Amino acid sequence: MSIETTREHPERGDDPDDRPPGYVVGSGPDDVERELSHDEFDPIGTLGIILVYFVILAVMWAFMYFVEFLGRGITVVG
Amino acid sequence: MKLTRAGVLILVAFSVPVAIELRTVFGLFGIDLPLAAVGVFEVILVAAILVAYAITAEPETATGP
Amino acid sequence: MATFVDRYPEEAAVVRATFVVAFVSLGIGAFFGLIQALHRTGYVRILDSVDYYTILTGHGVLLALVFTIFFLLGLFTWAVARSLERPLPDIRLTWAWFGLTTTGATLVAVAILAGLIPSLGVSADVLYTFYAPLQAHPLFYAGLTMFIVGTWMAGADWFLAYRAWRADNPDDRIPLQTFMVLTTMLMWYLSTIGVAVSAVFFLLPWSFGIVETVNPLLTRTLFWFFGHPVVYFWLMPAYLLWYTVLPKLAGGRLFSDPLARVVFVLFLLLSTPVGIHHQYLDPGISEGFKFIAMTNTMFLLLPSLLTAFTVVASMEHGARQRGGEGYFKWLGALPWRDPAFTGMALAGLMFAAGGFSGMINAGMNINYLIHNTLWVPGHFHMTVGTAVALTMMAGSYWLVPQLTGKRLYSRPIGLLQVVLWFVGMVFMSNAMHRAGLAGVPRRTAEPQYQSFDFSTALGSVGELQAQIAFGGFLLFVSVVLFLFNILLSSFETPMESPVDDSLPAPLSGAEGSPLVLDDLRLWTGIAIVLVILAYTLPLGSIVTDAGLFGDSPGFPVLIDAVAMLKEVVA
Repeated sequence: MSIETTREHPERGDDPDDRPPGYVVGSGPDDVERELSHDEFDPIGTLGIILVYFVILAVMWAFMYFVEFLGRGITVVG
Repeated sequence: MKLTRAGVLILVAFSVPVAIELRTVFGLFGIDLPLAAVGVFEVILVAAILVAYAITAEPETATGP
Repeated sequence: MATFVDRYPEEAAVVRATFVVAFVSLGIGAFFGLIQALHRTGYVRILDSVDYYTILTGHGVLLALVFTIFFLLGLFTWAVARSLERPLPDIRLTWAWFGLTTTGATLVAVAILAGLIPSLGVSADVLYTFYAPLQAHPLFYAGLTMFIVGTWMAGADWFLAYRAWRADNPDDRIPLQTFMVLTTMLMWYLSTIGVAVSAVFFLLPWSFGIVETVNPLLTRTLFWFFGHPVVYFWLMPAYLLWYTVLPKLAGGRLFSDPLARVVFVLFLLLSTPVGIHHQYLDPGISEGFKFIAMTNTMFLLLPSLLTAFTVVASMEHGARQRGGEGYFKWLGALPWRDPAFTGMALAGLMFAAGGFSGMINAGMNINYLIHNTLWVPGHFHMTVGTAVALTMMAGSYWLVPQLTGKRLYSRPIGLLQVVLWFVGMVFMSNAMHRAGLAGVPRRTAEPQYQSFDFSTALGSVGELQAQIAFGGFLLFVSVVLFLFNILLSSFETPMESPVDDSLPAPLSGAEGSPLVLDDLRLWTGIAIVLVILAYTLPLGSIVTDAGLFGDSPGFPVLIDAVAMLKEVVA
């Protein structure tokens, strides 16, 4: 396929490519300041976020006990 | 760390559930707030985010959102 | 820098075609969603409430089956060719499965939409779950069967590609993306047996009138045999993107390749023997079987929590490489201006919230509180409706340029779109959960009753209705922005590097993971044993109770029938 030839930048002035190129999707790695290897990387932030998740989970579990269990009348079965 | 315009957008989006659930938290303690309270919370949160942006932001290029 | 379309032009054409089908059904399905959100809240009722079920069936089928699975077909084709670094074995096979799935999906859509024109005499208002004795036109079941067979062929296509690669690379580890595709497809083969048996042996002959009756509990149970794994069939493409693409978008590398493999193996093992947890309130299945399904379901939390750790750690790696510091401050160093990254990150955040309500659904006793209420749609709009759909839309911003060689029309609009989806879903899903707790039923056009008021814990029902309608409106606007952005991108001029498509190696690579993880035969064998253990006795007792074909005649969901019923009731 002759894709390479069709990809040359057109010279027309009203071409939409005159827009500034801006940020290319997926170019996050361009701003990398340092390489961190497996042993240099300590995911303490992940630990923090997961602890927050479990705290929310535990609090909501307790909340549910008060609202849905103690907060309602008895259920008569049969 | 400077706050970018994209960062402001994300924080504003994240503030919406926080504002809605703040009313729930008050409700849990027996304080029933009207719906307008969510709006007030949201305005306060957005104002706080914009203040943080104004303090930390540096001039950016025109590529922000 | 050559991108996917330059290296695999034929595969790229197939992937583009699947994405076109996916996005068209996304547009129609989202419009139906808007109609429902406005209808059941009472704001705008452009249709008769009788037609609500046509729209609801269309919304469920077009979004949950057509949009998600066509996106999956394209994504997996991309992933297999890309990670095996070779074209698919025979592009005619690839086009054949595309043709079959598309024809099947079109027949299903026609059968559903024909319900809006009563004079045609065709309808399929059976909702996404197509529970018997609700009966659809044979076209619906036939189309569905073609669609499923098409996905099987797609799986065969990928397995053939893998076999060809294996012949050339006898000692290499299976590349991670291909490993994910293969395990997902094994799960799919196992689970679709249920829906295939249900459609081909029971529902299709019944809709043609060859057999008179069905056993509704049997076809329901066979549906859920497939109906829960299909949830993971939606989710696995999102996981594939979260594990292999999101770390790169964040500027980092995948934390652990072996952990990713463990997660996909666990989903292969545990996805299917849990379906009965959708039937906690079905009479005819004893409590003991339901308890087994609940136990298996709780085990399924494990791979999702493993994913939470691995994916967040990979994002943190990117943030720290970009200069992030501290316990939480690193979050600010992530590339939030990238719509592909931000969409996936917000989808992951919403999935974490969906985990909370999912745990409520999974518990046998707590499930009684919210069963069949609006809570349940609230839950799955967070999971399939955001974790999956938003990840797919965000992923498109990164994938579509690779398939066309053209850049994205507008990155800021993309960013606005993913944020709008998040905010819209916060409003809609939050209100649905609350309304469900108040007892508001799901699947009704008019959830209000005379001389009965739902009592909410906080606020009023009117506020919840407003929140649902507003959220649904934002979601629809978000879809429109997405579709226009993709459409306008297709008119861009082809360029040299429309997107940064490189994927870095994981921090902890495949060489460190046990070889047994790649033994697909072993895991398939264990998965089959687990399914036999979980399903033999319940299915046996259902058949013993009411017979293979039961005694329930069909109730074709025709407008006339409903109108007749109305007269009878009045």
